[in-house]
Amino acid sequence: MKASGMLKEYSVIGRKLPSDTDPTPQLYKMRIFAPDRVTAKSRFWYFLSKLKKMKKSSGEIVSIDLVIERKPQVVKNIGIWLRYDSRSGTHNMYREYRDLTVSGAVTQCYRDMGARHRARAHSIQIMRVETVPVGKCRRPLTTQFHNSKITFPYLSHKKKKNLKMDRITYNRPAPKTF
Amino acid sequence: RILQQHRRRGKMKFNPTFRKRVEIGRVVYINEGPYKGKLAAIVDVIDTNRALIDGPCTNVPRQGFKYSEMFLTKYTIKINRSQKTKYVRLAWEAANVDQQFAESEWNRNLNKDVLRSKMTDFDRYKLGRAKQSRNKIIKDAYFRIKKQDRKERRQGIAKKPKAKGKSKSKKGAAKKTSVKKGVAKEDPVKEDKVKKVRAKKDKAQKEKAK
Repeated sequence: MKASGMLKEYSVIGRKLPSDTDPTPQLYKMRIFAPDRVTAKSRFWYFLSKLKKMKKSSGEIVSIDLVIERKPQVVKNIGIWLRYDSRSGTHNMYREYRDLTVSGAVTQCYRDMGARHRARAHSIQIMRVETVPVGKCRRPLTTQFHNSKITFPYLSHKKKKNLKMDRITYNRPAPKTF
Repeated sequence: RILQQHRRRGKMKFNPTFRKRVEIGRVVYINEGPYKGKLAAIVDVIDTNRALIDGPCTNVPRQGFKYSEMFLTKYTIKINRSQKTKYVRLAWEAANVDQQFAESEWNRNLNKDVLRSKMTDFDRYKLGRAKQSRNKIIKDAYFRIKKQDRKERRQGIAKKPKAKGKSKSKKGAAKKTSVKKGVAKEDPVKEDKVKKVRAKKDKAQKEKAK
């Protein structure tokens, strides 16, 4: 998977194709974080075939819904349990992020893993995502913000240049030649 | 005065380097995006890069915003962490932020940039002429004072009290700074420099508005 842009949360439900022996197969639901529906469906089969004897050709996706954040204007502490392949082995991790939305936090997680552990998106598996109550947060980086009278000076006003996002291909203004 | 304000609010020990802090209730000026140029208040801190801001009186919906895309102003409103928009609005109106900002130097400078960008060649000519006539007044006053000062020094009168009295007697006559050699030490420079810059702006703007 290429974790482009902001990931979205999808609720994907799939099942094995009904057959004579099993006319109403068991439904399986997964919470998939993906950039779009197509990738979501692909990830669904990737995980499901690891967990059950099912694959895309032998099954069908019953429904795929975009899950919208219930309270996008409330700051949450989100705990993410994940599993990733490093260069020398595969490890479990628990990471915490502060964000307004769950999918925002998962996006942060992918970026963070890429930065800190050079882990590519395809080698990361998000196992579990939960909103963690304040008392149960474990990481000092999140608990440092648990202060109702928080105050700190802001130092750097430089906005990071994002050449990719600020690129203009069309409607480029005429150059000023004087 | 700034020191007093900070101490009165009962904040952390006043640090002259960091006078504006990110805190719940800090009013910010948004510099990027669809709400550029608007004010909002920090309602909660998300992390080191972002805050939850809300500007109910300035049509800024509650949203996460990066610190690098906004500026901290010197105004704060009294709200609690992540209070409802309704209470942010009440606190904003109670603190009268919109009016305070409209009367501030910041706002004046913003408008100045807008005016300057709208100038035509004729306006620029008018401005040049206005500056010229104004500078002439300053120069005349300055040389008059300098001449008087020289005369009195030759006559052996004490410099400091005399010089100060003189500058106050000339209404609005600001002295040029240490650009003029030799007389810099005697002239009370600092306050006049500020007055000069202000007066220049006002006159230029007046001329411009004509």
